[in-house]
Amino acid sequence: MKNDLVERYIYAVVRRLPEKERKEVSLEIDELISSMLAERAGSGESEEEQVRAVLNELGNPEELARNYSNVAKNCLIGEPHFSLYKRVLKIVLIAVAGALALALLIEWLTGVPGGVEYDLGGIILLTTKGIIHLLSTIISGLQGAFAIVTIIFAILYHQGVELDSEKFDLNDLPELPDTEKRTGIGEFIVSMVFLSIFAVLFVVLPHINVPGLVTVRKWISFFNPEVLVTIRPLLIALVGTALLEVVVKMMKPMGSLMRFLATLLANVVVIITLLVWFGNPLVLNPVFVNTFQTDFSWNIMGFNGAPIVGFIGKWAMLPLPLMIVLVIVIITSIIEIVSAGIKTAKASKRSI
Amino acid sequence: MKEFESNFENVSIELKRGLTNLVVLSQCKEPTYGYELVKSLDEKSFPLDANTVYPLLRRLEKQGLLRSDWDVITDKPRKYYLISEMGEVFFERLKAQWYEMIEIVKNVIEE
Repeated sequence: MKNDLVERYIYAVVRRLPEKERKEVSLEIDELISSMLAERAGSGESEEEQVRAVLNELGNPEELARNYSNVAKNCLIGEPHFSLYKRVLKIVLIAVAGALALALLIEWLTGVPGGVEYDLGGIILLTTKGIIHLLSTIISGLQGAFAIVTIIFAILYHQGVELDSEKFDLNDLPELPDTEKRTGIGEFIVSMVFLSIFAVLFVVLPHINVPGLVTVRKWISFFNPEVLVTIRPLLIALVGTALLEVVVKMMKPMGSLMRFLATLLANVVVIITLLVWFGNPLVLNPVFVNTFQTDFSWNIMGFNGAPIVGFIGKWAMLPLPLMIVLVIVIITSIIEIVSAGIKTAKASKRSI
Repeated sequence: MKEFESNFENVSIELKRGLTNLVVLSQCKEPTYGYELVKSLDEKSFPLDANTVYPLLRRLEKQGLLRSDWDVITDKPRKYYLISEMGEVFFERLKAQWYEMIEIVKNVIEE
């Protein structure tokens, strides 16, 4: 078995090279390392020590990659600044997009005019408007972030500012990408169990959805069963697409297009369902809240800080914990879509 | 003083860098593989790092100045390089220019 450290070192070099160069250069470096190791054989060191000594002698893989690539010097941002620039840009763009999405989502959810009962069409219209506003704001935010980072790095490069990245540590070598990884049977079973429970409680028997209150008289559900019945088609779609995603993840390796599409579909359905469901003014079971307040004399606070009364509510009437859960689930779904997209893009780049 | 040393080191590396093409081409008259070249240059007091030699051999091959062949007969495959016809012409011209430059620079710095 080939030494893991050697493979990671080679990968750290070739991943910075054009796709068509990688195989040949891998073989060359592999040959070089074998030759250097052969020379050290019998030095009394352990195999691990020999490998570490050889790789340290070869030096920073980034520098070796630079020697292999003919990067023009008369450019806006060149090496070694360019490698760092790409890394920083990626982090900044993701952070800016995430922060803007979160801020806008909160602004939009709290800003929805209250007092009106929305029908399904109204909610979809509002959702569409919100998404368009969200996208246009994020795009202009990203443009600004891109410009600022680029200008800073262009200045650093042309001023010849030295970077710490020249030093390297063998332990910092990146892990080899695991493109063959599929979902294991354990995860599949857990997903199936959860989906089945969800389907039974919210789709088949909406009147006993959990969590609920057990009173002397009967079971009182937390969510309004009437609403669950209205959005039943959406809930069925949610279970269906989630099932599809689980099955596709079993069949297809990480980074395949099918896997990305299944993730995209399942998460989009989750987001739409949640917005429609929680956007319904009657999302909570009025009986539940009444019982809670009369039996436990404990006011449930709405998202706007005022106690919930009457239960003909709107977004602002959602209890705060529920609102937080909603925001977290939506953000998680968006992150899942984006990360699946990145993995697929990377995998398709590798296989060209 | 430290800065002086590092400046000297940088200039010295620059000076050597211009000659590496000439030196490496001169060593490829017989088929040779990268690490062999690194070792032999070291013995001849013109040490070059392996991480410079390997990419350089590849670049010279791309420029058509060297040809290469993988020797896969032994259990350790090795890539052997040999100077091409175009490489010979290139080398002779570069060598002539180098000798000429030595004379010129000698005149300039010793006048």
